[in-house]
Amino acid sequence: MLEKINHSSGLFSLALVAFALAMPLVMGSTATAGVVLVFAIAAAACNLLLGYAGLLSFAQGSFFGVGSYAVGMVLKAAPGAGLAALLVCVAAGMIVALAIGMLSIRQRGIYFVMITLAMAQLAYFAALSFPQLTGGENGLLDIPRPITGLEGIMGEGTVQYALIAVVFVLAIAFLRLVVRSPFGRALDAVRENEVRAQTAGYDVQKLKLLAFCLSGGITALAGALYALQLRSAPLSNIDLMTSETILIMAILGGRRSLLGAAFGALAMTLMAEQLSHLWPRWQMIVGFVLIAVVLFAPNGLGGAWAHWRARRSVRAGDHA
Amino acid sequence: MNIYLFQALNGLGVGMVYFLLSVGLSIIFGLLGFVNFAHGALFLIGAYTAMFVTAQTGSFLLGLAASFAVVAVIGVVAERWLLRRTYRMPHESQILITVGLTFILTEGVVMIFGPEAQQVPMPDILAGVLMLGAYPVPIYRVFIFAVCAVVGLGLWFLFERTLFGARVRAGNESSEMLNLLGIKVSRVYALTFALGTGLAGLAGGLAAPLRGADPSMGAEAIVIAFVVVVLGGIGSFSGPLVGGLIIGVTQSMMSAIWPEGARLAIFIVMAGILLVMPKGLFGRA
Repeated sequence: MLEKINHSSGLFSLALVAFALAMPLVMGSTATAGVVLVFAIAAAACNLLLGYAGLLSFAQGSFFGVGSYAVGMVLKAAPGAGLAALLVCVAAGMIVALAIGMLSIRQRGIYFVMITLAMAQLAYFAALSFPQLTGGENGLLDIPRPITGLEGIMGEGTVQYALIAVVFVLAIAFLRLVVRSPFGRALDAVRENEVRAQTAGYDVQKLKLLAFCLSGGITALAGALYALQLRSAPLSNIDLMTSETILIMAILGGRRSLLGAAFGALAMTLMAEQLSHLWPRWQMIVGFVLIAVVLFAPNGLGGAWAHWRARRSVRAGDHA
Repeated sequence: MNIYLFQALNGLGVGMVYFLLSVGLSIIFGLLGFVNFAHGALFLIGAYTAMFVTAQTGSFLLGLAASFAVVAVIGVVAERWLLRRTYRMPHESQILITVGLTFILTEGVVMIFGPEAQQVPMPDILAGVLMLGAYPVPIYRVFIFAVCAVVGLGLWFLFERTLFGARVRAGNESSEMLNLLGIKVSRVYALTFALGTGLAGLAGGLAAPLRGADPSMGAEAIVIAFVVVVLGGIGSFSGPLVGGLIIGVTQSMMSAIWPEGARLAIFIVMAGILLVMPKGLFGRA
């Protein structure tokens, strides 16, 4: 079933739409359903780096936060900008990703990881140090929502959710196109064996940098949608915890599965919703889950399921 | 004396704490090729241990000793039960697993000590100031500098002049060969892990009276340690020392020039150095 969905673009889009339609029922409100879809976009963009380009980036929260701030600044300055504000956010995210990527991608392995973390911290302290732009500790408050033209037909919460859902379907479908394009195949080659890809004539640095920028732009888009959902851009959107949350969602869902990212975001949001009521120290459980997934199910929930299915069908074949 | 020069001298104390923190990370990576993201959480535990033991016994020195010992024990337990399984995994998996460990350790500390920031009093004998010309130098900074210098020299001696150090360096080159020579590699690993993590604990204990103890200091520490290591290189002694001092002095000087941006400045310095020297200060393959 999973393979079928992965192979057919029609089924894949259908699955995305079904996920977006089912979320309000699963979560009980369009507001929390919107949060799931927003983080699904961010986690899928993280997967582009983690699962396809082979880059573990701790800067995803910076892109997310930059998107939040950008949409806030644009819409507060020009409330009539409408959905064009989202395009500004994508551009802002790509520019920040270009800057961070240019410093970090020159180095490999752990140095790359450490530099993305340090640069993410730079972005955080920059947001904190310039309160006239970002609102400092309070964040940007009272961000107006853009006018979409659907206001008369549906309630405000529904319009907001519809906007998030449409962007969700488009963004993940776009990421699927990217990973299946020749560019995506080249990323596969880089991840599997960087030296070989280089010898084959690929400009490895440029490929990685492009993937980094695409991921940054889409993550910023998710951040912008989140700010519209909250009507504010809190400082916490750009902090290290946001990077870690996005990474954990991507890992939970499976680093090579874009649809899995949506389920990773769902699992994490459900945990945050349910466990935080029961136990204030619920993040300890997240720690245990993360360790267990990396140790025992490195391909995430989707991967574990596919693995179990494959083993079962092999066993069934033996008996026949 | 110039105020900036004075601030720079002041920053040497903090810089030495950063050195202690990062050299632990560096030692573990050097021998085991293992990236310990939980190093910051261990720094945090060190700070709380020093606070707790000092409050219970009334002896700050005992608190410092406990911060090293307790964290070293936690490090060894984690190595035996969890981290040893990950040595053959890619660095990315090691980082993610130790991120998970960071969550567990940090939440554990909050569970025991609560989420509020707490003051850690320094012993009276270290609380005063020395007058250096017209400028007061806190005795505690001098104390930190001295402790870290002694520990640093001790580490240098341990790794360059003793049999244990020779084994660690040999394991660095080829752990298989070390094994074939009849040396229990897993014991060398465990001891190195204890030492490296213990240093993070000691750094936390030393830093506690300077900045108090609060649950966010672990995340702060791991980022600082990474910055130091990115600048100075990993697996050596001089790298963390130079990197740590640069960061400490920058932070201290900037807090006189632009207090709001002092923490921003260390990352800008790092980005600037990386822009000019993509491989860090000492270059590496």
